[in-house]
Amino acid sequence: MDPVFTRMAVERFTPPGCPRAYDLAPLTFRERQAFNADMARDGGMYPSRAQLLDAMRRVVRELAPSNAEPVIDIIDAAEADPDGNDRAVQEQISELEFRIAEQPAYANLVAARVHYAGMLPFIAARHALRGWEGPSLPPFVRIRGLVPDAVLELLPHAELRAIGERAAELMRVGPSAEGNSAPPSP
Amino acid sequence: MPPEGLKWSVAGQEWAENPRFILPAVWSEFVRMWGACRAGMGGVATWPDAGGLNDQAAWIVDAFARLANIDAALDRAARP
Repeated sequence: MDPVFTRMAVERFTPPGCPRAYDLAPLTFRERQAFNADMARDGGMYPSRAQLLDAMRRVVRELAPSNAEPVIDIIDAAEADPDGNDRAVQEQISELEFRIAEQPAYANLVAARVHYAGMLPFIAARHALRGWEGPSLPPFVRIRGLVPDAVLELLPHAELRAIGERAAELMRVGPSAEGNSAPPSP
Repeated sequence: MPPEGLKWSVAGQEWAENPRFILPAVWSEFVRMWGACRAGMGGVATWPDAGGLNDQAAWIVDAFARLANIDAALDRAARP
């Protein structure tokens, strides 16, 4: 999809296979600040990979202090391979994640990630929606720049997710813009 | 085409083909819009939309900053 060059250009977005269409604004700088504030308030923090790996180290040292070092080595190897290129390391770290999934120090961080990722589309839709059209939709309402939560909750869940993800893309420099300096051939 | 053995260079990246023919035209237009809006010293003389910084589409503010950074890096590299 082409980028919008102005805040006035509202994009008509149709989730895949959906008979309904949603109008999304790219969000102005000020509106994005309000979105970020809402995310901090309602979405919490998104723990970094480094935080997750540190929590894993703490859990491993607490659960198995006598033989923690070989496992810590796996965590260190995973940290040195952020792009997941080493398949053996990724398999080991995935198994470790599975084993410690219920340990509170680790689980709380994963829960924070899940909460953040779950709230992001909802909050982005709240700020970016400018209208909609199609069957089985309530009348569009926007109060002081925001679509009320009670109205958003009437939208089909999968569509709300797609709308929010697209709205989040529209407020940032997307991969299509970032990647356009990658040469197609050497 | 650049002379034999040379490549197109855009922001430090080398291209075998002229990127103008490969990239979607919309990105050339975007860079042209930035060129029309820019001021000296990496600043912005005018914004695409009415109003100030807060009234611009947020991604455009970010994209302009990135283009200004690339331009500044090229300037530094070209300076003797």
